[in-house]
Amino acid sequence: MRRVAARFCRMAILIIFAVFTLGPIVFLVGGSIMGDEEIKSYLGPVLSGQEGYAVWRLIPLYPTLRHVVEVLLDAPEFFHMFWNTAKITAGVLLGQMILAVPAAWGLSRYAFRGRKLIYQIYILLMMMPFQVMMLSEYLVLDGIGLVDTLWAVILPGAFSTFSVFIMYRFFAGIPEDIMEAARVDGAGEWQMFLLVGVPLGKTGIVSALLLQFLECFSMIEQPIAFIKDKTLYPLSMYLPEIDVGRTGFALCASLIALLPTLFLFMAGSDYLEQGIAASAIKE
Amino acid sequence: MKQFFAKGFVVLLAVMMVFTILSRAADSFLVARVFAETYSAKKIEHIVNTEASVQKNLEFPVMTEPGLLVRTVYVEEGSVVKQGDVLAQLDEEHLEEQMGLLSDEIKTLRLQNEAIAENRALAEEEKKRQAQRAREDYDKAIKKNEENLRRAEEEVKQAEDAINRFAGGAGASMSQEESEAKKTQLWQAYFDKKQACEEVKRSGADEVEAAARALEDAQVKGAADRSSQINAISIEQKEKTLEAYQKLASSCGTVTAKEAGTITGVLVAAGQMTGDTAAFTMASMVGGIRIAALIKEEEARYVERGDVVTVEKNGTTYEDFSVTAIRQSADGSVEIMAESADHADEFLIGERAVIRIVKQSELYSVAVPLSAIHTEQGKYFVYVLDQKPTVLGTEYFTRKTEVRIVDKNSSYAALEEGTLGRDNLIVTESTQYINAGDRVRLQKS
Repeated sequence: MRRVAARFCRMAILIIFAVFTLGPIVFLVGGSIMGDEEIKSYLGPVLSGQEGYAVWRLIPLYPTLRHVVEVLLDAPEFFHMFWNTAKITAGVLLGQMILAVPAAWGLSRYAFRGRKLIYQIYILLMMMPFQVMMLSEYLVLDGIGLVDTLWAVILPGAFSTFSVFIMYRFFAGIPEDIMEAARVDGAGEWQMFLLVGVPLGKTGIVSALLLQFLECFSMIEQPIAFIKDKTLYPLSMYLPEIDVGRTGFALCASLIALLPTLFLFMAGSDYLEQGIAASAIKE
Repeated sequence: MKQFFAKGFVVLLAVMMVFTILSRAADSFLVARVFAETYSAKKIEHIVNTEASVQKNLEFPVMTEPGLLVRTVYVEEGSVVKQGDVLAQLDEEHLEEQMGLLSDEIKTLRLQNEAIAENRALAEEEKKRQAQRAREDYDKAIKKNEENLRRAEEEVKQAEDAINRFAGGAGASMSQEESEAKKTQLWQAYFDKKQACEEVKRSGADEVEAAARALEDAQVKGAADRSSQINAISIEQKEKTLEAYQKLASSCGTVTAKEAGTITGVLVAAGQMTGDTAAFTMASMVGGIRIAALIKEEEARYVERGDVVTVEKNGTTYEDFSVTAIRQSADGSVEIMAESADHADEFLIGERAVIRIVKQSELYSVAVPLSAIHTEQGKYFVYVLDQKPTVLGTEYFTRKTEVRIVDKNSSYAALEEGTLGRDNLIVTESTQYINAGDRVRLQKS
């Protein structure tokens, strides 16, 4: 009986936290189908300095799909920026598949001098905030003429150390016996990597790519630092450009911008959990 | 479930692609497409284009003799006639009668004149005779007066001599009393004779004066008599009328047009008598064509006397007309007259034509199409395009710029310098209503 009561309490606490966590999503959904006047009447104190406190209704008094239609049919710039984001994300993920997967495999499977040092440098770089790297990255990118192009965001992302770190964990977890068996069967190094390592480390690769996707999709500092041409702006820079008076539109655009992340999260939640868990294991 | 979301992600991308295309299409449909151009230097052409009508240029009367019976009128107001065309037919019988009456009147007047001449000769003779007689009476009176005076003076002389003789001693033998009596007698006789002589003088003068007056009266001319001259004038007039009647009779009583033109007034009617005034009024194109048109008051600013006018009628263009008069009408419109010395045979009075007057202004350095000009609260402005970098690329946005119009016509407006830049793209046309700050698509510049 006590166990049931304890379980109930835990569930109740979790539900309360879940409700708080889902709060922004509920806010987004409600605001997306709420008229501007109604939003203004609720958020007036926040948006236009009216007296009193902001309030919110879960279900709008006068629901409207106006903002949805506006975003979908009357905001070509939204889609332009969406595809810019898609290009950046795809470029980064592709780069990571080409660069980070072999790097993680090499670090995890081969014993060579300085391996530990390199690995620690990776970790050091991973822990460095973007602001620290920004100037040096800018100088390099400017030197090779990539500032104000999408490559200025894609290339640093493709060489991100975080994915190597995640994948390293998974590749390192592959038993050496399997590798030996492959060698006995006559597999070369590339064959072992592609036919044994990648399939067995798939979870790590997918989780790393998913985490990278989430980061890329909401990336904002890098575009601000390296891109001046508005036509190259990613979707993350769209919302700040929307007027305060178009709150409903902004909420709806945010909701739609959330969908790809949501779908991928739901599709790869297991991989994400494993990836996040792997990043938490102490070396 | 995970596969569902994985597939959902792919579908989402596809949906995003579809809406990308749709939003682009909607944007291209909703964003106004504009035509824009920079300003240019231009002369503003003011074209006054309006309908006009051909006016009578020279109006004159068609006269005929008065007092004749009109049998038929062949024309009406507006009829176009050639030289020699019959306008009306007079009654020939009535004409003949009138000619007969007129001949008789002339004869009567001539007879009257003859009688007057004869009477005048007789009167002259009688007058002459009376004057002769008065002269004779006058001469006689003078003569008689002189004789009577001479006698009276002689008697006075005799009386004076008698006195002198008596004083010289003829009376010495007489007593003093007798002498005194004689002296008194003589002196009395002398005074009597002297008085008688004075009387003769006075009466003689009166007689001479009376005779002189009678002579003067006899010499005075008789009262003026111009009846014969008056009759002569009447005869002359009637002869002229008769001559005109005879001419009419020789042309069978027809009233004809002396030259080509348009009938502007018919002042006689069948069955009525012709009057002293004109039977018809006509307008001819002799001397040129005159056309009149009404134009708006604001258009009149661009029309001056002497301006060349192009006239178009039935597909033919005439370019030798010029403005001869500009008159303000009571209703606010302005009437202009244009004339040409030629083409008399190509226009008819009342005919409609289109006139065109083109006036060029000075060269204005800033001119834009009139379609670029907008107005708001009595102020004029244009939309200038500004290029701004946006997410979708460099796009054009409208900016309202106030301008002052210096001159304009139906196509272009000349603007005051200084408000627009040389490179400013000015919106001249738009597919949709635009406001300041609107995003637009430049179609052509």
